[in-house]
Amino acid sequence: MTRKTLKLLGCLVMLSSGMAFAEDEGEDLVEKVAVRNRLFSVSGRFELGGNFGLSLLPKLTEHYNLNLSVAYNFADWLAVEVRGGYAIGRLTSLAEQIQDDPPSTSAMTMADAADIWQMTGHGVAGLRFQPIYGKLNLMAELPVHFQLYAWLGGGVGALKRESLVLCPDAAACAAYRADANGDGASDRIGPSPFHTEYKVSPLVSLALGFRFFIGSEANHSVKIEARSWSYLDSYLVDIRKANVNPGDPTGGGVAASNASITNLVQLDLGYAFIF
Amino acid sequence: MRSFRDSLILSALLGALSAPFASAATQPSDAPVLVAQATPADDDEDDPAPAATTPAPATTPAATSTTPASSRSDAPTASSGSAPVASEDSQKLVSGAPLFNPNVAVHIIEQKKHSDVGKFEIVLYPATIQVNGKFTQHFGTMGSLVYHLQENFALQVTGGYNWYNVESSFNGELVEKFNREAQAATSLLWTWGALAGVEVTPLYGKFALFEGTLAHFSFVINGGLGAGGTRHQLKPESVRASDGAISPASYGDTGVKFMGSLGAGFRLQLGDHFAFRLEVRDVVYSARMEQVNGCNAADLVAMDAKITGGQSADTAMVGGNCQVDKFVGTDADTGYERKRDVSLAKFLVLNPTSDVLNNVGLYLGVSFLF
Repeated sequence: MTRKTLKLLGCLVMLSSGMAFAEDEGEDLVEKVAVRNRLFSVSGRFELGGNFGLSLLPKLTEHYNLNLSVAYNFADWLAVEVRGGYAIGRLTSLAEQIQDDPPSTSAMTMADAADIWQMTGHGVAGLRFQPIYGKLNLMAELPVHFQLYAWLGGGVGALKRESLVLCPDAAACAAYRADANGDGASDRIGPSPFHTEYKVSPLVSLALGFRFFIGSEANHSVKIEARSWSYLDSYLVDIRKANVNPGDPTGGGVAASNASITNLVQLDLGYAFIF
Repeated sequence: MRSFRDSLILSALLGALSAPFASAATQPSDAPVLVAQATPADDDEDDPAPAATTPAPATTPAATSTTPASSRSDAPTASSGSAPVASEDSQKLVSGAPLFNPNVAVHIIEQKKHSDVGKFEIVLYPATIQVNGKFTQHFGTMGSLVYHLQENFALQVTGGYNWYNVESSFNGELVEKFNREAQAATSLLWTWGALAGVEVTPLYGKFALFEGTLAHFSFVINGGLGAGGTRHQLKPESVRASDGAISPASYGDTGVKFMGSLGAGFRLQLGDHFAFRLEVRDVVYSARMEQVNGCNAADLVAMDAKITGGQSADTAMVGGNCQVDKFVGTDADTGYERKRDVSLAKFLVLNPTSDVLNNVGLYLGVSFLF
């Protein structure tokens, strides 16, 4: 092998390694820049949105929640949001079965159910922590940009509680439970005669969700999130059945000492206009 | 003359050397591809930034100079997009194209940093948590072995044990307060399972945490078929009247059931060999109960008749699979008379159902790939 050939090979090795290095450096640079260069920057922008939520695991109550929201993004990773709305709540069929067919035991006292406060009007303010920005490749063709966020906030809510066992007006209850149309189920016509309470309570709301940017501008986004609404529960125990009447609708019942916190977990779908 | 020949050889070798790079750049392969486009409107990707925040590059290569930078700003911008791109960055060339040129499309997503083809993946799910636990509650530990036949397709075997499987406190409240409980079908408990199936990866992507760490992830969908053990609560936990002690719940083995599963989730790649998984899986199984502790309806009716007649359950004529000893004697720890389970088991078996149960669980796991 001549000295000239060795020189030539040396040049080629250096050249090829230099190209490989440049390629690696280039890939690495693109790798980092392509995601960090956010296609959709929300920093310093407002949002106006609407949300619809429904109960994920209804037990004795279920809710359909409608919200409007206003948000301001301090930075790409942090926003403050105010949400308010109204939840259409109702008892589940299992709860209605309990109302229609109360337990027939010889016990002198009874207890009401836990976790049956229904949320109605509500408003919360909170922080949205959105440190993760990414994009995914839908079928190797369509890139979708998203943010993953956590939300924490608090506020107040109006709550309503319809008892499952306290029905002070016996005549009204009988009519309500009647099966006049013969379909095998109570007719439940008119307002419920079951003892109903109302209160305003503090709320804590937590959420974890994704926001997907749609379109070619950063003005539209859709959200999907799991959201929890938490509030203090209360219910009556030691209700003396014989004492329940219109004059004493609670039958001398006392507040349960072990009432805890009701967690209303919902799947929320939303849209936000960013401007 | 000699030096001219050397120059020719060098030119030929350089040409040969550069050919693979040129070829690679035209394939939709794993390499990042930078494409200069004369018409920004044709971008199939990506990264247009707000016009006000994206300055025109200081220098624009001839290939892209036909489109004014101000017509539409398609540039990836540094950080939040609000800061002007430094002039040296704007001239930075990657794979021959200016990185910050507004008219350059960056097909970066198509690059997968970690290839899975031909790899095995062992997944440990230390915690699987039932999330639809209305009448039952399950916590368990599962594991999977995955073989990636292709980048987006794998074979998967999953097995594990639910070390906590009980009826929920909500069901207990219904029994205690309202003398009601879930239908037997909805409270069948799942103990262990083994399923085999496939996993597909239709989506993959990457994200940045703040402006720092980059992470690659895949969206996975899996499904499988298999079998698993089940049991049902016979007697709920209660307080013994005699001494006020807690009498634990009793359970009957309701046999092995055919099971199917369908799941979806995210796999977050942590280097070449490790990954983190977060999945939701729905395991579906039949709620039909035909035997308890190996005893079928005829066995249980025969035992119940003996017990009603004042005799022990083991005096009844039963089938060979019936574990009569489970219904005989007294539990040493709790003093519970096991014969009381016979009538409860008989009720379950004599009221069969064709329902299927959905056990939806959150699976948190770590993977090792090799």
